[in-house]
Amino acid sequence: MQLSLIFVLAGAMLAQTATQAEKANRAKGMMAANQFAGAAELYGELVRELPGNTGLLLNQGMALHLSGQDAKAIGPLEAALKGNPNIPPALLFLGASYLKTGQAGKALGPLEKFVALEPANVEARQMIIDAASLSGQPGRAVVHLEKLGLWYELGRAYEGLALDTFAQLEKLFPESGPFFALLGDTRSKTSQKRAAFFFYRKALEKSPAMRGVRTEIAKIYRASDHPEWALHEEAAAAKLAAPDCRAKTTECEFAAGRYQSAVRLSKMTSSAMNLYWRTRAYRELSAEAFGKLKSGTPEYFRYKAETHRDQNQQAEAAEAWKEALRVAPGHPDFSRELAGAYLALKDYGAAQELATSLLKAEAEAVDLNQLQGDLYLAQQLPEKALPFLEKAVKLDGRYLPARASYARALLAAGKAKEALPHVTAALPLDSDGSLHIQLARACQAAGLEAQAKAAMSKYQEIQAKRKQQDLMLEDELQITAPK
Amino acid sequence: MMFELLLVVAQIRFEAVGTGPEFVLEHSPTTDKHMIETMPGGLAVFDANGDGRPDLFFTNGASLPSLANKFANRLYRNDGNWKFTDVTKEAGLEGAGYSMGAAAGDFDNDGDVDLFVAGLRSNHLYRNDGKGKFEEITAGSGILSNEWSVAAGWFDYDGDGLLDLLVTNYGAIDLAKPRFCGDAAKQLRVYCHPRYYDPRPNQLYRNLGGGKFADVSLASGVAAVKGRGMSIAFGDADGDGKIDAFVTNDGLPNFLFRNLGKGKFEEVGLLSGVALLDNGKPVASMGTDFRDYDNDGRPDVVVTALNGETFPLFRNAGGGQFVDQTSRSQLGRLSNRYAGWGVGLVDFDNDGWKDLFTANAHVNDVVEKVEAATYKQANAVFRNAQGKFEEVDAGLRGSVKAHRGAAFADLDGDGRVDAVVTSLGDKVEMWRNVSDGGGKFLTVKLRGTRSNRDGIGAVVQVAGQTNAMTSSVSYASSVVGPVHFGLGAAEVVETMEVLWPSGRRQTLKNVKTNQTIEVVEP
Repeated sequence: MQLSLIFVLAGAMLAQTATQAEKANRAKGMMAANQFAGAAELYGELVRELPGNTGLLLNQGMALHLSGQDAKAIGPLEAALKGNPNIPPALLFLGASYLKTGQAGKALGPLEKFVALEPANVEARQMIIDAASLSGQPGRAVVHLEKLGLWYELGRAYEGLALDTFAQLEKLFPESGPFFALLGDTRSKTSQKRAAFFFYRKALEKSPAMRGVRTEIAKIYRASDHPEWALHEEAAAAKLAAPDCRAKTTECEFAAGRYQSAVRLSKMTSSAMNLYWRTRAYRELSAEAFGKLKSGTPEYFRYKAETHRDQNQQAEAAEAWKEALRVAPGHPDFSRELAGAYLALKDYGAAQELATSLLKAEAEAVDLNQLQGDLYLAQQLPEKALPFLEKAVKLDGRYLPARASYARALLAAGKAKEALPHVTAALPLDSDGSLHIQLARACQAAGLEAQAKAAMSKYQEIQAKRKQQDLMLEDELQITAPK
Repeated sequence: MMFELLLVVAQIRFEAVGTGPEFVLEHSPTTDKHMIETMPGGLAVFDANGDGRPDLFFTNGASLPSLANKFANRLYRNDGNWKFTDVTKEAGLEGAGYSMGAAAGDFDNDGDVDLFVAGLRSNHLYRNDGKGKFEEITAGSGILSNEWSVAAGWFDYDGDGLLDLLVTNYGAIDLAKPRFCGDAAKQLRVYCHPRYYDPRPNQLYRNLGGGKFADVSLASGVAAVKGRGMSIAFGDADGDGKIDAFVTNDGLPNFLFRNLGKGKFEEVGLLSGVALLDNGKPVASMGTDFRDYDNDGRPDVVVTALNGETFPLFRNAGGGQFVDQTSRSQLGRLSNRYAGWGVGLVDFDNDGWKDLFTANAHVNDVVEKVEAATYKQANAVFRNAQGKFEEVDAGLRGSVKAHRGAAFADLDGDGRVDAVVTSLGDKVEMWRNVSDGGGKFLTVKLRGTRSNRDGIGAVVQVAGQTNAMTSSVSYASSVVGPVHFGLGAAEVVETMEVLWPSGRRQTLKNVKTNQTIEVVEP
């Protein structure tokens, strides 16, 4: 990131000689003329001549950052801050250099300090948001997202916090009532009634007095044409004692719609219930943020499209991505997503048109080369798929989906032997055994009969395991009468 | 040995015949979306009354979910000149229950073709009296079943000269409790994925003679595996002289039941390479044919499936091994946009290479709402250009329907093989083959003496081509008719060889083309 900050060079240099003053002036001039590398060298010389000079260290750090030498900039900037911990430019440039050198976590501290000193600085807040996202600390972005009115990002940040809290709940209180209740909520949200019912039932087994769960079960009963069972659950729910809200509790704050307060209170102790309410509060805060998205904006359509996509409503997702692209023409991420939706809808022509256009701008993108290859594969044109998939594999040999697609294309093109290393590499992705069948075919072509047989046995093993799991799930996922 | 192509250009063309049967396939669509509604449409083409002309039998549905009102199955007598008369009632073939597939075969070797009808917990066996009247003998025959049967096929697996019966079963179904599949919020209900129907074993009945059958499903090993059986085709996959059975499965790996002899079968689909495409994914396999498409003397397997899945083609590489040739034959690219049911590898232009006809339509009647596909589709013809396929405009594209079953026979005796296609809720299509090019033909009518009467299971080799006598074809359908060969410009076939199911090999020399020749097993 090129900072647009107008830097103010530190001018005061104690005990300078005429030569040093002249050097300082030259450096200053170079900075003004955007000759940052030269300036950095001069400031380096001055720092060596006048060690510990905070102003010179700051100037050297800035010049290094602006000349793209971020790794080298960190030392002088940190040294400058040792001299004076509250120099705003030093904080900002240090944060920026940390970010540029992939140390997003370390960038947060100086940037947050900078924003505290200069709260109106939008660019710094944006950097904090980036750093928080990159370092997996969405919570530290929240206040800045809110300030900047970035509702989409805020919604996603709260979602991230909800996920983190849920993960904590799973770790600390696995198989607890609150844990299962949240799983039930997740399934219910995506209309997976039977799965939701299963988890709510498990929640009740663990925590029979947990409020809200029976009401959710009653809703599922009604939606499944079992009104008499719903009445039974509702009656049982009514018997549960109401929460005592004379004192502030997470549950009461949540019920009153004061989600931030619920979050704060929940952090006082890490009980299962506190983690449960905190997760739910974050989910609500996320929904609130998304609710503030202005209709007709790219983010509005993006959120809509992603919601449809996540619920496997690909036709609706495609329409929303098209709307998003109407208001943000050529947006590469939206175009990628639209191409993905077209692929899921088997509208290969439309997907290919997008993929081709994206590839023109990003010929070296692994995902786009793979997408183009997959599209040809889906149209049963393996020969056309091969160059794209080969390129994707060359660009990133560790990207296993590309290896799997490349192997499939090679097999379809009759180049089974060549497929062998790629299908072997992709085996960790094999969830249904299909890659082991591909491996068997490749081994057969290479005359490796024993390996082919072993691969087929593995396929059968995977299939048998899946069948068993499906049967278990089928048994478990039944909506049954109240207990 | 490769057959030299003697005739260079022959345009495959079909004409719709308006004078055909008025039969409409009643599948009883309901808002409950019972899967069986999507699956009827099997038919049989055979000479029911012994007049030498192939007649037409159609299976039909029943009211759902009660199954109380049967829409009669139909038999149409071929009066010649593309005129057909409904003789169902006289023939006694109205049937009962929800019927799906038909299998014609002379199981009692009395010289007339009998009939088996598969359906939902309602299978029926009829004996032909030779004059076109059929007597139902199900009750005492030993073939009673409570399964959801889709198709069946006759073959003599034990070489005793009597045709045995293999029946495919789809899955467990409860019509009283239809599962909701789709998007309730959008009030979009669709037919459930096959995975919601628990797989069932197929059934093998050994013909004991005298109209009696023994269920040998378990003893033979056929019932050792469970699938969602759709169609059946027979062929000698491994060249050991014993007939093997290929069964398509919906959304599961296909089965190849290798005939081990002594009444035993082993399912070898996976090992032989016909269970799955090379990508390792099972497809919604529907119809099938098991014939030599590349004139290398070995029977290959073709399967119809949904759009995006291709119509898999497995080339027999010898030694019981098959190679996925879908992509390399060009069939993958060409078939990818179709969903197919009925299918036949038949030399429609008589050029010496078996072409491919597919009866097309998607299974999901609201597929347009969920993906870029269409429910009703036109049928397709893929011309076989020496082992590579090319799609041709054969005059079929104007008829866009929910096609299902298809059967292929020379209905007007002109030496060109015609097509009959059923469609859900629509009138049957009669496609007259009017391909030009004047390719010569030879049709071989077999009469078994030691083998079964119609020589089902016999392999005939003519001028470098191989074809087999089978009555089990396409999707849940059946044809009993002479074995057809297209011969290009050849006036005479130097050598014709018949390998009878009994193992006897018979050679005929200097056989003139453009005729139907009857060959009696010596």
